[in-house]
Amino acid sequence: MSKVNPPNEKPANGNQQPKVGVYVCRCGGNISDVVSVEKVAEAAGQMPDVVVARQNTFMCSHPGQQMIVDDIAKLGLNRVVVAACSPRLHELTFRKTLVRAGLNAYLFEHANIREQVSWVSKSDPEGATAKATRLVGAAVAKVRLSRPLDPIKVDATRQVLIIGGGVSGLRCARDLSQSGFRVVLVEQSAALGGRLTELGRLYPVQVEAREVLHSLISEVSRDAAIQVLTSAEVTAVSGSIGNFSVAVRCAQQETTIHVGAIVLATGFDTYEPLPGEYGYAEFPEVITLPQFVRLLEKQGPSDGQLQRNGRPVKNVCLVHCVGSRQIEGIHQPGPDGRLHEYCSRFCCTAALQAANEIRARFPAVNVFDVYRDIRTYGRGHESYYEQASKQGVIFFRFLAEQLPQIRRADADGSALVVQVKDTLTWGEDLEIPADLVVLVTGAVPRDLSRLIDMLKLSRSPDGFLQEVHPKLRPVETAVSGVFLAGGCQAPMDVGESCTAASAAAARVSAALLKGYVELEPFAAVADPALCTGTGACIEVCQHQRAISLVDVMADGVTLRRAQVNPALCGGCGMCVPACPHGAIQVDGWRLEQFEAMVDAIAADY
Amino acid sequence: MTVQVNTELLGELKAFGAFDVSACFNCGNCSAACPVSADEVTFPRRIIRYGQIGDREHLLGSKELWLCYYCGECSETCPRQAEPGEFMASARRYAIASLDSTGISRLLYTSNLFTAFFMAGLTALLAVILLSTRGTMAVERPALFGFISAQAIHYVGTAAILIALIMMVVSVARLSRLFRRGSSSSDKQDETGGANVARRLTVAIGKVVADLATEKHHRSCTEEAQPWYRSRWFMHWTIMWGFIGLAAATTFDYLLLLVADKVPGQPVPLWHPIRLLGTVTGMLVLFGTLRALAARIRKPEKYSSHSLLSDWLFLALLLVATITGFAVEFAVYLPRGHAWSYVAFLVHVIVAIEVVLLFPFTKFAHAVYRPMALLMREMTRHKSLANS
Repeated sequence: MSKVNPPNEKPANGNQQPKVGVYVCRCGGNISDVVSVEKVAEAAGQMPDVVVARQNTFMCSHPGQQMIVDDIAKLGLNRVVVAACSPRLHELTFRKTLVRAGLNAYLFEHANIREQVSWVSKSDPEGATAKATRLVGAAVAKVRLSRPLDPIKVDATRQVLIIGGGVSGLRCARDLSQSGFRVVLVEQSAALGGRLTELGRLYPVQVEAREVLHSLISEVSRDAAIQVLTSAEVTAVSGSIGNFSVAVRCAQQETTIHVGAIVLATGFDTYEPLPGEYGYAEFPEVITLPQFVRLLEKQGPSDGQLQRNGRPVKNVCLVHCVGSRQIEGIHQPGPDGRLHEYCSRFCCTAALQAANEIRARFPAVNVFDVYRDIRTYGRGHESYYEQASKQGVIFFRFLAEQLPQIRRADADGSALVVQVKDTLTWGEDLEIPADLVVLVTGAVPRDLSRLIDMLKLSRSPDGFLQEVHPKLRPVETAVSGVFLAGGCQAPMDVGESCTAASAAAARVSAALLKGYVELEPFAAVADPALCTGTGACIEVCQHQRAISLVDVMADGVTLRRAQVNPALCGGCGMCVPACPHGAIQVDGWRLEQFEAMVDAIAADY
Repeated sequence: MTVQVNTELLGELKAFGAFDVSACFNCGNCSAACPVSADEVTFPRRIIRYGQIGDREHLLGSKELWLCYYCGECSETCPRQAEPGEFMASARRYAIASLDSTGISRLLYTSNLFTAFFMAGLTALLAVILLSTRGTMAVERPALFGFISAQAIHYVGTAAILIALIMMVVSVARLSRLFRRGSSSSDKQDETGGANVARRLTVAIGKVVADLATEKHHRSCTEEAQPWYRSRWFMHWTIMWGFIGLAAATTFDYLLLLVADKVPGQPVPLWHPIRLLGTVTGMLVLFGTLRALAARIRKPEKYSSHSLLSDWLFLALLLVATITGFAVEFAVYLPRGHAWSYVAFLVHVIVAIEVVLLFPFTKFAHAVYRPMALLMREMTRHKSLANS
């Protein structure tokens, strides 16, 4: 399991008399337009142990950082406070500045006077200046009591668990194996392939889905580094990045595997229309696009006629956006109680591909395409629209407020009639003959509640799994060591799923390739001199097995004392007030620091 | 009104011209580029859409169809090369064919073989009828009415005019019904008193006549680079006014026979007003038809790039009628009767009668449908203004 590195020799200045430098950032007016940074700097200069207090237009800029480095060299600073934006943006920047100047990174404190002050107190510059001063005072009070700390290094297991054996899981497994990782691929159904087994030809390259799948599966099954478990499911997860323990039930047997990271490639479900929605389950001639794709697959290419249940089909009508882009008050929520407000993205091109295939294989069959908008967004997708229109597919456009209606045809001829208020014909009521109505259904999030509970994942409002940041960290979850690949995150087509899977594999590599992971040093530490082994801390601990009672030899007597595994500790601090003897503290956030901060905030300036 | 979507119309329309509106994605560039399309009557997009969804009734009931002069601007700006201008031309041909209940027009447009046989048969029939009365070619002096009797011409001509008139009345009745059904529902709500309608009608007719006299909309279609006498507008204007002038001259000449003591075939002096009218307007037609035929042969522009035999037919007949007309004019002043002058006279009479007879069956019919559409537009424009 994990190994805790002994604390290294602290960099210099840890225990010397604090010499604090305070730097107030103007943030190019973002702060200084509201807060008087000069006054804040002036007040900071009067605070205990503060040697220098300055202000600058952009502290994060090179000159801003260089000012800190120079002051550390010239004035012998050993503590630094920067009052600027949110620490989420630049705390790491300034920690690195300290390291460059030879100080320990954790002798830095960041005061947020932009998001928490200037942006929210525009109408009260004086109050804002006073608040900024107090926040700087609290940061100074805390940093004076800071001690040098080192990141916790934890050995990382070079094995990865991938949940889901669809195209994303398979692609990710191969990428990781090629990067030198062992992979355990857990698939809940009996066979690999996922959604791809239901698809026909894939746009925009017109290859058969089964060919893509065949080549991927044969690569995976030949790969000795990839262990595939089908009809298997994850039943429990513990541990953290680098060292997860995962219980997997497979063939009535529960096994525990150890992995350094977990990739979720659980995919999405296709939308199942509600009974009666566009005549679904009411008329047998109304089917979904996936059902239609299977119908096309079954018909031999040489069949002269498109048939459904043995009856010839002369008119096919496709209806777009079924179960996607839903609007409250117009659409009914599904069985999960959710409205699917998002665009499922792949369905427009998939529908047009089906339309083109009908026109090419059965030229006598009329194809009517009833859409809200055509969103053939991807590279090469627009040519499907162009081809469809050139091949004589006739398009109609409806507004969400005026959904098409489907009814039985009164007279002989077509089986059904699709009524559309067509905006391309100036809102005229049109009746489209249809022997087959194909509902172009999109993607819906899967029910992953057990996995979400086990891994403490968060979901977007749309129900799909959520990434940390949609642009900068698109395949990582808020739980470090857990990654997203493909359709579990959002509706994606095959190409996009593979891109996401490769991205997830790359992020796993970045996290585990060094062989260890570095964690923030903000972990609880029990003082064996004060601890009496009550176990109160263990009872309130939020992280499994982070604290345990161990036997300690002291003066020839064996004592039970609390010991924290910093790799498992989340640094939440629940144990601190639980201890009747004050024997347990969180490094970097010790009680005396909190007390000093409170005093500083309450002080007069 | 609910419209049944029908895919067959587009196939039918394709028999009348070369276009590919399945490429159309309803962007509306064509309507924006069109110099004639205005706010209340937007086309060609609207007409193309009717074609796409197979809305025959709206298509035939669109007055916009007859407002287009096919300048080709829309086809040039179409981002999908759907040829909206050619579509409009085809839709007009289709409309002429659909308004003709005999089916002759459709065959003239779609079958060259039929056209050849039909014209040969018609010509032969007319020749037999006309020559059955006299048929002698006097040599000592030109006696054209000794070759074909004035009465024969009168009766055959009257019959041709009556046939064309009856056909045209039927077609006009159909078209006005289609126009009324095709106009939007907001137009129909306005049902005001008879006096008001009469007043509006007078104003509208005045506007239409003014529009037709100058063809100012057609002028707006004409490209700036050319001098006016080389423009399409002038070409069309000469054919139209030349034809009207010739028709007027013929009518006046006939009236003169009735009121004055004039003998058919008796030469009148060159400066006689009716004579002068005939000569000048004949020259106009000659100029116009030669220009139009030259344009179709050289095909330098969009509008003349796809010509059907039926389109050629009308121009060719007009040209032959004009040339033989001038030949006969010349012949009556000669001291002796020549065989060629009798042949020219025969050809002139036959072709003139054919021009009249074919009126409802060829593109010539637009001479009636277009003013109707203009009138309809003026009337509905009035209504929508009154409503607002």
